[in-house]
Amino acid sequence: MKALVGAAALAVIVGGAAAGPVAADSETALDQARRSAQASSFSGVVDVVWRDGKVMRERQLTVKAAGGVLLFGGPTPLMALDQARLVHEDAAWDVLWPAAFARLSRPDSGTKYEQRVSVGPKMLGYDTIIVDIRRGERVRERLYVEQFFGLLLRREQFDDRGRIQRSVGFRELRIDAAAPPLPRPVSTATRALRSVAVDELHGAYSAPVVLGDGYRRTGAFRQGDVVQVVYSDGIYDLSVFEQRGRLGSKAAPRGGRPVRIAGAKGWHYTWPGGQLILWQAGRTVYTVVADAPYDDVVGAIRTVKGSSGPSVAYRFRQACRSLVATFTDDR
Amino acid sequence: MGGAGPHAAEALSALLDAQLAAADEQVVRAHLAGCPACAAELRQVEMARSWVRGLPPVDPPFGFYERLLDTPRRRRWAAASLAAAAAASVAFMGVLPAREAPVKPAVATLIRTHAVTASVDGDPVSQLATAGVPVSFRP
Repeated sequence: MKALVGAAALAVIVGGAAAGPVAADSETALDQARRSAQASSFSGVVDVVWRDGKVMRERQLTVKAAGGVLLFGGPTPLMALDQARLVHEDAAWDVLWPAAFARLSRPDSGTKYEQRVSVGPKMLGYDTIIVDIRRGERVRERLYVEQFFGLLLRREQFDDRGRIQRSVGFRELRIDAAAPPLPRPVSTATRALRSVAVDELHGAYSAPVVLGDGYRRTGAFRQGDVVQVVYSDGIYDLSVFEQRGRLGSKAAPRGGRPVRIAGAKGWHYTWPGGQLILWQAGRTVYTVVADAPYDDVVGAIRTVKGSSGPSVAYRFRQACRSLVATFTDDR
Repeated sequence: MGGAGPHAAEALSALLDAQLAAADEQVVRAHLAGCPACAAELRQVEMARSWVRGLPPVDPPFGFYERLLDTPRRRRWAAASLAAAAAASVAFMGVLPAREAPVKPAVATLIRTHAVTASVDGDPVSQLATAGVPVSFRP
Protein backbone atom coordinates (compact mmCIF):
# COMPACT_ATOMS: atom_id res chain seq x y z
CA MET A 1 0.00 0.00 0.00
CA LYS A 2 2.84 2.35 0.88
CA ALA A 3 4.32 1.66 -2.50
CA LEU A 4 1.13 2.62 -4.23
CA VAL A 5 0.86 5.85 -2.28
CA GLY A 6 4.47 6.65 -3.08
CA ALA A 7 3.91 5.80 -6.69
CA ALA A 8 0.98 8.17 -6.74
CA ALA A 9 3.25 10.93 -5.45
CA LEU A 10 5.77 10.14 -8.16
CA ALA A 11 2.98 10.10 -10.74
CA VAL A 12 2.12 13.66 -9.74
CA ILE A 13 5.73 14.62 -10.28
CA VAL A 14 5.76 12.87 -13.63
CA GLY A 15 2.57 14.69 -14.56
CA GLY A 16 4.49 17.90 -14.12
CA ALA A 17 7.40 16.44 -16.01
CA ALA A 18 5.28 15.97 -19.10
CA ALA A 19 5.53 19.70 -19.70
CA GLY A 20 9.28 19.71 -18.95
CA PRO A 21 11.60 18.78 -16.10
CA VAL A 22 10.48 20.00 -12.70
CA ALA A 23 12.17 19.93 -9.32
CA ALA A 24 11.01 17.18 -7.00
CA ASP A 25 9.80 17.98 -3.51
CA SER A 26 11.63 17.01 -0.32
CA GLU A 27 10.41 13.43 -0.62
CA THR A 28 13.45 12.08 -2.44
CA ALA A 29 13.30 9.23 -4.87
CA LEU A 30 15.79 7.36 -2.67
CA ASP A 31 13.42 7.52 0.30
CA GLN A 32 10.69 6.25 -1.96
CA ALA A 33 12.88 3.45 -3.27
CA ARG A 34 13.83 2.37 0.25
CA ARG A 35 10.23 2.01 1.32
CA SER A 36 9.30 0.25 -1.89
CA ALA A 37 12.14 -2.27 -1.63
CA GLN A 38 11.02 -3.15 1.89
CA ALA A 39 7.34 -3.45 0.98
CA SER A 40 7.41 -5.03 -2.48
CA SER A 41 7.69 -8.66 -3.53
CA PHE A 42 10.06 -9.34 -6.40
CA SER A 43 12.91 -11.50 -7.62
CA GLY A 44 15.63 -10.97 -10.16
CA VAL A 45 19.30 -10.53 -10.96
CA VAL A 46 21.21 -7.32 -10.21
CA ASP A 47 24.22 -6.11 -12.19
CA VAL A 48 26.92 -4.23 -10.28
CA VAL A 49 29.27 -2.37 -12.64
CA TRP A 50 32.09 -0.08 -11.58
CA ARG A 51 35.07 1.68 -13.10
CA ASP A 52 38.37 0.64 -11.59
CA GLY A 53 41.03 2.83 -13.15
CA LYS A 54 40.64 2.33 -16.88
CA VAL A 55 38.79 -0.95 -16.54
CA MET A 56 35.05 -1.53 -16.09
CA ARG A 57 34.33 -4.45 -13.76
CA GLU A 58 31.04 -6.25 -13.39
CA ARG A 59 29.37 -8.77 -11.07
CA GLN A 60 25.88 -10.24 -10.85
CA LEU A 61 23.91 -11.12 -7.75
CA THR A 62 20.52 -12.77 -7.35
CA VAL A 63 17.96 -10.94 -5.24
CA LYS A 64 14.49 -11.69 -3.98
CA ALA A 65 12.13 -9.91 -1.63
CA ALA A 66 8.81 -10.74 0.00
CA GLY A 67 7.15 -10.21 3.35
CA GLY A 68 9.62 -7.57 4.52
CA VAL A 69 12.65 -9.77 3.80
CA LEU A 70 15.17 -8.73 1.12
CA LEU A 71 17.73 -11.44 0.36
CA PHE A 72 20.87 -11.23 -1.77
CA GLY A 73 22.58 -14.41 -2.95
CA GLY A 74 26.23 -14.67 -3.87
CA PRO A 75 29.38 -15.73 -2.04
CA THR A 76 28.32 -13.82 1.08
CA PRO A 77 24.53 -13.71 1.34
CA LEU A 78 23.10 -10.54 2.85
CA MET A 79 19.64 -9.84 4.19
CA ALA A 80 17.60 -6.75 4.98
CA LEU A 81 15.06 -7.79 7.56
CA ASP A 82 12.88 -4.75 8.11
CA GLN A 83 15.35 -2.33 9.70
CA ALA A 84 18.00 -4.95 10.53
CA ARG A 85 20.87 -6.02 8.26
CA LEU A 86 22.37 -9.51 8.43
CA VAL A 87 25.18 -11.47 6.79
CA HIS A 88 25.38 -15.23 6.37
CA GLU A 89 28.80 -16.53 7.41
CA ASP A 90 29.95 -19.81 8.90
CA ALA A 91 26.50 -21.36 8.40
CA ALA A 92 24.78 -18.76 10.57
CA TRP A 93 23.13 -15.37 10.24
CA ASP A 94 24.97 -12.56 12.02
CA VAL A 95 23.31 -9.23 12.69
CA LEU A 96 25.46 -6.45 11.29
CA TRP A 97 22.94 -3.71 12.01
CA PRO A 98 20.46 -4.34 14.82
CA ALA A 99 16.82 -3.46 14.24
CA ALA A 100 16.85 -1.53 17.50
CA PHE A 101 19.25 1.10 16.13
CA ALA A 102 17.58 4.37 15.30
CA ARG A 103 17.65 5.39 11.67
CA LEU A 104 20.27 7.96 10.83
CA SER A 105 18.74 11.29 10.01
CA ARG A 106 20.15 12.45 6.69
CA PRO A 107 20.43 16.18 6.07
CA ASP A 108 18.29 17.82 3.42
CA SER A 109 19.91 17.25 0.04
CA GLY A 110 18.23 20.34 -1.39
CA THR A 111 20.97 22.69 -0.29
CA LYS A 112 23.57 20.88 -2.39
CA TYR A 113 21.68 19.05 -5.11
CA GLU A 114 18.75 19.65 -7.38
CA GLN A 115 16.48 16.82 -8.45
CA ARG A 116 14.80 16.87 -11.84
CA VAL A 117 12.21 14.34 -12.85
CA SER A 118 11.26 13.27 -16.35
CA VAL A 119 9.53 10.39 -18.05
CA GLY A 120 11.88 7.46 -18.51
CA PRO A 121 12.08 4.51 -20.88
CA LYS A 122 10.43 1.15 -20.41
CA MET A 123 12.90 -1.10 -18.59
CA LEU A 124 12.46 -4.86 -18.29
CA GLY A 125 8.79 -4.35 -19.17
CA TYR A 126 8.13 -1.69 -16.52
CA ASP A 127 7.39 2.00 -17.05
CA THR A 128 9.93 4.28 -15.38
CA ILE A 129 10.56 7.85 -14.46
CA ILE A 130 14.06 9.32 -14.44
CA VAL A 131 15.28 11.32 -11.46
CA ASP A 132 18.42 13.29 -12.24
CA ILE A 133 20.36 14.42 -9.20
CA ARG A 134 22.27 17.46 -10.32
CA ARG A 135 24.91 19.62 -8.79
CA GLY A 136 25.29 22.80 -10.76
CA GLU A 137 25.17 21.90 -14.42
CA ARG A 138 26.35 18.35 -13.91
CA VAL A 139 24.22 15.28 -13.44
CA ARG A 140 25.88 13.31 -10.65
CA GLU A 141 23.42 10.49 -10.35
CA ARG A 142 20.55 9.18 -12.47
CA LEU A 143 17.82 7.02 -10.98
CA TYR A 144 15.37 4.94 -12.98
CA VAL A 145 12.32 4.41 -10.78
CA GLU A 146 9.51 2.01 -11.62
CA GLN A 147 6.35 4.08 -11.88
CA PHE A 148 3.78 1.98 -10.07
CA PHE A 149 5.67 0.50 -7.09
CA GLY A 150 8.42 3.10 -6.83
CA LEU A 151 11.12 0.42 -6.98
CA LEU A 152 14.56 1.67 -8.02
CA LEU A 153 15.40 -0.31 -11.15
CA ARG A 154 18.75 1.23 -11.99
CA ARG A 155 21.13 3.77 -10.53
CA GLU A 156 24.00 5.39 -12.43
CA GLN A 157 26.75 7.61 -11.11
CA PHE A 158 28.67 9.88 -13.49
CA ASP A 159 32.16 11.25 -13.38
CA ASP A 160 33.32 14.77 -14.31
CA ARG A 161 33.33 13.87 -17.99
CA GLY A 162 29.80 12.51 -17.93
CA ARG A 163 30.91 8.88 -18.16
CA ILE A 164 29.20 6.24 -16.06
CA GLN A 165 31.46 5.67 -13.09
CA ARG A 166 29.39 2.91 -11.61
CA SER A 167 25.89 1.51 -11.84
CA VAL A 168 23.65 -0.92 -10.04
CA GLY A 169 20.58 -2.15 -11.88
CA PHE A 170 18.29 -5.06 -12.46
CA ARG A 171 19.26 -7.31 -15.34
CA GLU A 172 16.21 -9.49 -14.70
CA LEU A 173 13.17 -8.55 -12.61
CA ARG A 174 9.80 -10.03 -11.82
CA ILE A 175 7.54 -8.07 -9.49
CA ASP A 176 5.01 -10.45 -7.98
CA ALA A 177 2.74 -9.01 -5.31
CA ALA A 178 1.37 -12.51 -4.62
CA ALA A 179 4.75 -14.08 -3.77
CA PRO A 180 4.76 -15.88 -0.41
CA PRO A 181 6.85 -14.29 2.37
CA LEU A 182 10.49 -15.36 2.53
CA PRO A 183 11.48 -17.32 5.63
CA ARG A 184 13.08 -15.32 8.43
CA PRO A 185 16.19 -16.62 10.22
CA VAL A 186 15.30 -18.73 13.24
CA SER A 187 18.29 -17.58 15.27
CA THR A 188 20.90 -14.91 14.81
CA ALA A 189 24.08 -13.77 16.48
CA THR A 190 24.86 -10.10 16.97
CA ARG A 191 28.23 -8.54 16.29
CA ALA A 192 29.61 -6.29 18.98
CA LEU A 193 28.63 -3.12 17.11
CA ARG A 194 27.23 -0.48 19.40
CA SER A 195 26.04 3.04 18.91
CA VAL A 196 28.05 5.62 20.84
CA ALA A 197 27.40 9.22 21.76
CA VAL A 198 30.08 11.48 20.34
CA ASP A 199 30.72 12.83 23.85
CA GLU A 200 31.74 9.31 24.83
CA LEU A 201 34.72 9.53 22.47
CA HIS A 202 36.29 12.09 24.86
CA GLY A 203 38.01 13.93 22.06
CA ALA A 204 40.31 10.96 21.48
CA TYR A 205 38.77 10.55 18.02
CA SER A 206 38.01 13.07 15.32
CA ALA A 207 34.24 13.45 14.95
CA PRO A 208 33.44 17.00 13.84
CA VAL A 209 29.79 17.89 13.28
CA VAL A 210 30.50 18.82 9.67
CA LEU A 211 33.14 17.85 7.15
CA GLY A 212 33.96 19.71 3.96
CA ASP A 213 31.57 19.90 1.02
CA GLY A 214 28.36 19.85 3.07
CA TYR A 215 28.71 16.49 4.83
CA ARG A 216 27.04 16.42 8.25
CA ARG A 217 27.56 13.88 11.00
CA THR A 218 24.62 11.49 11.35
CA GLY A 219 25.91 8.94 13.87
CA ALA A 220 28.86 7.26 15.58
CA PHE A 221 29.44 3.59 16.30
CA ARG A 222 32.07 1.41 17.85
CA GLN A 223 33.12 -2.18 17.26
CA GLY A 224 36.12 -3.34 19.25
CA ASP A 225 38.87 -0.79 18.74
CA VAL A 226 37.31 0.66 15.58
CA VAL A 227 35.23 3.83 15.75
CA GLN A 228 32.95 4.62 12.81
CA VAL A 229 31.68 8.17 12.37
CA VAL A 230 29.02 8.43 9.67
CA TYR A 231 28.38 11.52 7.55
CA SER A 232 25.90 12.31 4.80
CA ASP A 233 25.19 15.14 2.38
CA GLY A 234 21.62 13.93 1.85
CA ILE A 235 22.44 11.78 -1.18
CA TYR A 236 25.74 10.10 -0.41
CA ASP A 237 27.08 8.59 2.80
CA LEU A 238 30.64 8.62 4.05
CA SER A 239 32.06 6.55 6.92
CA VAL A 240 35.23 7.64 8.70
CA PHE A 241 36.71 4.59 10.45
CA GLU A 242 39.33 5.45 13.06
CA GLN A 243 41.82 3.15 14.77
CA ARG A 244 44.46 4.29 17.23
CA GLY A 245 47.91 3.22 16.12
CA ARG A 246 50.24 3.57 13.21
CA LEU A 247 49.81 2.31 9.68
CA GLY A 248 52.29 -0.51 9.28
CA SER A 249 54.53 -0.50 6.21
CA LYS A 250 52.62 -3.41 4.67
CA ALA A 251 49.22 -2.62 6.14
CA ALA A 252 47.76 -0.99 3.03
CA PRO A 253 46.36 -3.51 0.53
CA ARG A 254 48.10 -3.78 -2.81
CA GLY A 255 46.58 -1.97 -5.75
CA GLY A 256 46.11 1.43 -4.13
CA ARG A 257 46.85 4.70 -5.88
CA PRO A 258 48.92 7.15 -3.82
CA VAL A 259 47.12 10.31 -2.70
CA ARG A 260 47.84 13.10 -0.24
CA ILE A 261 45.27 13.95 2.39
CA ALA A 262 45.98 17.17 4.29
CA GLY A 263 49.70 16.66 3.72
CA ALA A 264 49.73 13.00 4.73
CA LYS A 265 50.50 10.15 2.38
CA GLY A 266 47.57 7.85 1.74
CA TRP A 267 46.16 5.32 -0.70
CA HIS A 268 42.99 5.40 -2.79
CA TYR A 269 41.08 2.28 -3.82
CA THR A 270 37.93 1.75 -5.81
CA TRP A 271 35.36 -0.73 -4.57
CA PRO A 272 32.09 -1.71 -6.30
CA GLY A 273 30.12 0.89 -4.35
CA GLY A 274 32.50 3.84 -4.38
CA GLN A 275 35.79 4.96 -2.89
CA LEU A 276 38.09 3.94 -0.08
CA ILE A 277 40.91 6.16 1.15
CA LEU A 278 43.38 5.04 3.77
CA TRP A 279 45.94 7.19 5.61
CA GLN A 280 47.52 7.95 8.94
CA ALA A 281 47.33 11.33 10.66
CA GLY A 282 48.77 11.91 14.10
CA ARG A 283 48.36 8.71 16.08
CA THR A 284 45.26 7.54 14.24
CA VAL A 285 44.77 5.42 11.13
CA TYR A 286 41.83 6.61 9.05
CA THR A 287 39.90 4.51 6.54
CA VAL A 288 37.22 6.48 4.74
CA VAL A 289 34.64 4.51 2.79
CA ALA A 290 32.08 6.41 0.74
CA ASP A 291 29.64 5.93 -2.10
CA ALA A 292 30.24 9.49 -3.34
CA PRO A 293 32.39 10.41 -6.34
CA TYR A 294 36.13 10.64 -5.64
CA ASP A 295 36.38 14.45 -5.79
CA ASP A 296 33.54 14.81 -3.29
CA VAL A 297 35.20 12.40 -0.89
CA VAL A 298 38.54 14.19 -1.05
CA GLY A 299 36.78 17.55 -0.57
CA ALA A 300 35.03 16.21 2.51
CA ILE A 301 37.95 14.56 4.26
CA ARG A 302 40.43 17.39 3.83
CA THR A 303 39.01 18.73 7.09
CA VAL A 304 39.66 15.53 9.08
CA LYS A 305 42.37 16.38 11.57
CA GLY A 306 44.45 13.62 12.99
CA SER A 307 44.09 13.02 16.69
CA SER A 308 47.49 13.32 18.32
CA GLY A 309 46.45 11.10 21.19
CA PRO A 310 46.61 12.03 24.86
CA SER A 311 47.83 15.57 25.47
CA VAL A 312 51.25 16.36 26.93
CA ALA A 313 49.53 17.53 30.13
CA TYR A 314 47.66 14.24 30.36
CA ARG A 315 50.80 12.17 29.82
CA PHE A 316 52.67 14.33 32.35
CA ARG A 317 49.93 13.76 34.92
CA GLN A 318 49.99 10.04 34.27
CA ALA A 319 53.77 9.94 34.57
CA CYS A 320 53.65 11.77 37.91
CA ARG A 321 51.06 9.36 39.23
CA SER A 322 53.10 6.42 38.04
CA LEU A 323 56.29 7.78 39.60
CA VAL A 324 54.63 8.50 42.93
CA ALA A 325 52.98 5.09 42.92
CA THR A 326 56.34 3.43 42.24
CA PHE A 327 58.05 4.99 45.25
CA THR A 328 55.11 4.64 47.60
CA ASP A 329 54.31 1.05 46.65
CA ASP A 330 54.64 -1.09 49.76
CA ARG A 331 54.46 -4.42 48.01
CA MET B 1 34.89 1.53 28.78
CA GLY B 2 32.56 3.27 31.16
CA GLY B 3 34.54 5.44 33.48
CA ALA B 4 37.76 4.59 31.72
CA GLY B 5 36.71 6.34 28.54
CA PRO B 6 37.20 4.90 25.09
CA HIS B 7 40.70 3.68 26.03
CA ALA B 8 41.88 2.40 29.37
CA ALA B 9 44.75 4.86 29.82
CA GLU B 10 43.40 6.39 33.02
CA ALA B 11 42.76 2.99 34.54
CA LEU B 12 46.07 1.27 33.76
CA SER B 13 47.95 2.55 36.79
CA ALA B 14 45.03 1.68 39.03
CA LEU B 15 44.92 -1.78 37.50
CA LEU B 16 48.63 -2.37 38.17
CA ASP B 17 48.18 -1.16 41.72
CA ALA B 18 45.16 -3.44 42.23
CA GLN B 19 43.16 -0.39 43.18
CA LEU B 20 40.22 -1.02 40.89
CA ALA B 21 36.92 -2.39 42.12
CA ALA B 22 36.25 -5.91 40.87
CA ALA B 23 33.63 -4.78 38.37
CA ASP B 24 35.87 -2.01 37.00
CA GLU B 25 38.82 -4.39 36.75
CA GLN B 26 36.68 -6.78 34.73
CA VAL B 27 35.70 -3.99 32.34
CA VAL B 28 39.32 -2.85 31.92
CA ARG B 29 40.59 -6.39 31.35
CA ALA B 30 37.86 -7.00 28.77
CA HIS B 31 38.91 -3.81 26.99
CA LEU B 32 42.59 -4.83 27.10
CA ALA B 33 41.73 -8.16 25.52
CA GLY B 34 40.39 -6.38 22.47
CA CYS B 35 42.56 -3.27 22.32
CA PRO B 36 46.16 -3.80 21.23
CA ALA B 37 47.04 -0.12 21.87
CA CYS B 38 46.03 -0.26 25.54
CA ALA B 39 47.61 -3.68 26.00
CA ALA B 40 50.89 -2.28 24.65
CA GLU B 41 50.65 0.75 26.94
CA LEU B 42 50.08 -1.51 29.93
CA ARG B 43 53.18 -3.53 29.07
CA GLN B 44 55.24 -0.33 28.76
CA VAL B 45 54.10 1.03 32.12
CA GLU B 46 54.77 -2.34 33.72
CA MET B 47 58.24 -2.45 32.20
CA ALA B 48 59.11 1.10 33.34
CA ARG B 49 58.10 0.27 36.88
CA SER B 50 60.08 -2.93 36.93
CA TRP B 51 63.17 -1.04 35.75
CA VAL B 52 62.85 1.52 38.52
CA ARG B 53 62.26 -1.17 41.13
CA GLY B 54 65.18 -3.15 39.78
CA LEU B 55 67.71 -0.39 40.45
CA PRO B 56 70.19 -1.48 43.14
CA PRO B 57 70.20 0.46 46.42
CA VAL B 58 73.19 2.78 46.78
CA ASP B 59 74.61 3.68 50.18
CA PRO B 60 76.04 7.23 50.32
CA PRO B 61 79.57 7.71 51.66
CA PHE B 62 79.99 8.23 55.36
CA GLY B 63 79.06 11.77 56.40
CA PHE B 64 77.42 12.64 53.02
CA TYR B 65 74.08 13.79 54.41
CA GLU B 66 75.73 15.72 57.22
CA ARG B 67 78.00 17.59 54.82
CA LEU B 68 75.14 18.19 52.42
CA LEU B 69 72.83 19.64 55.00
CA ASP B 70 75.22 21.42 57.28
CA THR B 71 74.40 24.87 55.94
CA PRO B 72 71.10 26.48 54.89
CA ARG B 73 72.51 27.31 51.46
CA ARG B 74 73.55 23.73 50.81
CA ARG B 75 70.12 22.55 51.96
CA ARG B 76 68.42 24.81 49.42
CA TRP B 77 70.69 23.60 46.61
CA ALA B 78 70.12 19.99 47.59
CA ALA B 79 66.37 20.39 47.59
CA ALA B 80 66.43 22.20 44.24
CA SER B 81 68.70 19.55 42.70
CA LEU B 82 66.49 16.73 43.87
CA ALA B 83 63.37 18.48 42.56
CA ALA B 84 65.02 19.11 39.19
CA ALA B 85 66.15 15.52 38.88
CA ALA B 86 62.67 14.26 39.74
CA ALA B 87 61.06 16.61 37.23
CA ALA B 88 63.50 15.55 34.50
CA SER B 89 62.77 11.89 35.22
CA VAL B 90 59.04 12.48 35.05
CA ALA B 91 59.36 14.41 31.82
CA PHE B 92 61.53 11.73 30.26
CA MET B 93 59.28 8.86 31.29
CA GLY B 94 55.91 10.41 30.78
CA VAL B 95 55.93 13.17 28.23
CA LEU B 96 57.61 11.27 25.48
CA PRO B 97 54.76 9.63 23.56
CA ALA B 98 54.74 5.87 23.46
CA ARG B 99 55.18 4.26 20.06
CA GLU B 100 51.75 3.22 18.81
CA ALA B 101 50.92 -0.35 17.92
CA PRO B 102 50.78 -1.13 14.20
CA VAL B 103 47.30 -1.24 12.68
CA LYS B 104 46.15 -3.11 9.59
CA PRO B 105 42.60 -2.03 8.74
CA ALA B 106 40.28 -4.87 7.71
CA VAL B 107 39.19 -3.02 4.59
CA ALA B 108 36.71 -5.64 3.36
CA THR B 109 34.90 -5.57 6.68
CA LEU B 110 34.94 -1.77 6.77
CA ILE B 111 33.52 -1.58 3.25
CA ARG B 112 30.71 -3.96 4.16
CA THR B 113 30.03 -2.04 7.36
CA HIS B 114 29.73 1.20 5.41
CA ALA B 115 27.46 -0.30 2.75
CA VAL B 116 25.21 -1.80 5.41
CA THR B 117 25.04 1.53 7.24
CA ALA B 118 24.20 3.35 4.00
CA SER B 119 21.51 0.81 3.14
CA VAL B 120 19.52 1.63 6.27
CA ASP B 121 18.63 5.13 5.13
CA GLY B 122 19.30 4.75 1.43
CA ASP B 123 18.02 2.31 -1.17
CA PRO B 124 18.68 -1.17 0.25
CA VAL B 125 18.88 -2.86 -3.17
CA SER B 126 21.60 -0.70 -4.69
CA GLN B 127 23.54 -0.32 -1.44
CA LEU B 128 23.47 -3.93 -0.24
CA ALA B 129 24.28 -5.23 -3.72
CA THR B 130 27.66 -3.50 -3.58
CA ALA B 131 28.32 -5.06 -0.18
CA GLY B 132 27.63 -8.51 -1.64
CA VAL B 133 30.45 -8.29 -4.20
CA PRO B 134 33.75 -9.68 -2.85
CA VAL B 135 36.34 -6.95 -2.41
CA SER B 136 39.42 -7.35 -4.56
CA PHE B 137 41.89 -4.57 -5.28
CA ARG B 138 43.95 -5.30 -8.33
CA PRO B 139 46.87 -3.15 -9.47
